[in-house]
Amino acid sequence: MIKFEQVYKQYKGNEQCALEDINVFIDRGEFVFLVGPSGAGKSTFLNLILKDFDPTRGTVYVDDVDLSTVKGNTVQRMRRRMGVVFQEFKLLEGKTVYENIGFAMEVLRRDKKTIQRRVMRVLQLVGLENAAAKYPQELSGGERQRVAIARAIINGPDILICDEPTGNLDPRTSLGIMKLLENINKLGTTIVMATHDKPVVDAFKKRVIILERGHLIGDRKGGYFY
Amino acid sequence: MSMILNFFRDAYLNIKRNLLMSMASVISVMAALIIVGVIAIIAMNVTFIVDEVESNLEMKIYMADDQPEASVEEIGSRIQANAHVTELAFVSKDEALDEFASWFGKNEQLLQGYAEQGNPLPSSYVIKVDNAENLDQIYKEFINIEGVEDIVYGQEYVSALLKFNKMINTVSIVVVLILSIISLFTIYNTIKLTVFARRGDIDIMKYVGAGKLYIKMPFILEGSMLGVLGALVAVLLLRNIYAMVLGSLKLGTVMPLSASLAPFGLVIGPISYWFLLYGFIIGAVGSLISVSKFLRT
Ligand SMILES: Nc1ncnc2c1ncn2[C@@H]1O[C@H](COP(=O)(O)OP(=O)(O)OP(=O)(O)O)[C@@H](O)[C@H]1O
Ligand SMILES: [Mg+2]
Repeated sequence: MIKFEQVYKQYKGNEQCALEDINVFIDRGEFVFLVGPSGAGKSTFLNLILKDFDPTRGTVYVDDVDLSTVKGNTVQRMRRRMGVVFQEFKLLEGKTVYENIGFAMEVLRRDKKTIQRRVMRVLQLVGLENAAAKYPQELSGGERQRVAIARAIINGPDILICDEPTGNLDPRTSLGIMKLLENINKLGTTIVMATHDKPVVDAFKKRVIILERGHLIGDRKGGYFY
Repeated sequence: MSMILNFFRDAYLNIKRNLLMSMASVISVMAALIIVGVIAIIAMNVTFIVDEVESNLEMKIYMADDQPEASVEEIGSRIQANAHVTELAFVSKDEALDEFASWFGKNEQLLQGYAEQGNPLPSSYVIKVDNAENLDQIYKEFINIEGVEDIVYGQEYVSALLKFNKMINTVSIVVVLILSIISLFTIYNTIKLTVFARRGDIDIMKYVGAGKLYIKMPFILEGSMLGVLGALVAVLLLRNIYAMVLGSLKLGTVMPLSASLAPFGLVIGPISYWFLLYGFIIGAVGSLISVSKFLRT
């Protein structure tokens, strides 16, 4: 599903590589934690999967497609197969919960009926069926993250990319979000999640990939935080 | 349809949010266009006057005296054949003398001597041309022809007028270029602020796989709205200024000077049309550059 082959990423103006010689294979249906101290290169790893930029050296494959060869509209088509969740939720403030989620389908020019049906269903899945008409400002952090997750999965992505989705949440709320993600994973979506959250990683016993200063220093099945 | 309405609503909301910078953009486009407009009005008037003068400009081609009528006619048809000649009239020796005589009115006896010695005035072709710039070429083409005695037109006057016209046109092109760059830059920066304020939204649109044009559209719309708004204010101001100039010239003098200025519609019509288009393009291009720079991938 996702494969990194001798991947290096060096940002302009930085001497140090953000990622160095990364070799990883993530299979369909896996749930992978990406851990490591701040600046280790976790976000860079995720951004490469999203094709925010190409690696300086090496190759990133998604479904055997070399991402650096993907150009133009195909980039958008590629991204439609992925969902993204961020630490800071990134909801549109002027739009209701319903609109925020529906927006991701509107962009793909889906018709109103389909949008309505799917939004209501996904709201149910994330446990927010009563919040459709509310605005993000009226929601708690955990609820906002649920909206963001709903938006990320509304188009039925094959891969869900999460960059510290519990970073702004208290432990109990984090647990709820993690259970939700685990459910989504069970429905077949591959999940790659960068996190600092030791209790979460320890509790869920998934595959853990450990980065430090750009190097991959550990990769354990059912592992614990380093 | 609702998608397009959404684009407009977003653009409107962004302008409201960035009111100060948006106003700066509008004012920048407006100021640029007023300066361009004043120069354009001067240039259009110069062109108008040049046209006026041109269409009244005559060239006289004098025939040599000692040639058969057939050869004079042949020269006439050659002149007629020139593509730049719009009017052609033949003035015979007798007509030339009559005209000459009419200047003297009653003192016809002064001319008696001429009549006796034979008419000394040459026959000529009086022509008008499409464009004063072609006079020189026509002069060169016919001056050396057998049977042409001389060619006369207001050489110095015409070339001075043409030079002035060219200079005004060059100046206006340079000014338009410089001011365009300034306006473009202001709009570019305004939209950059909007892009920055909405970078979260752009990220989201990007990650849900929205097409690039879909993402860019509200920003392009916002920029072109600013450009058109600036152009609109400039056009309204220029209309009033030119109407005032024409009006005051008419009232103030016995012989209306405004009669020789380009009429209101001839000037303001194209200015309105081109300026609105210009505002639209400057706004669209400025914002397109701005948002494209942000949306590399
Ligand atoms: N856009 C950028 N330009 C230049 N350097 C960058 C950029 N983004 C990240 N870096 C650098 O690359 C390295 C890895 O950054 P990255 O954001 O991938 O780390 P991270 O593991 O996600 O950290 P955190 O846990 O704080 O989010 C850091 O040294 C960072 O300073
Ligand atoms: Mg990060």
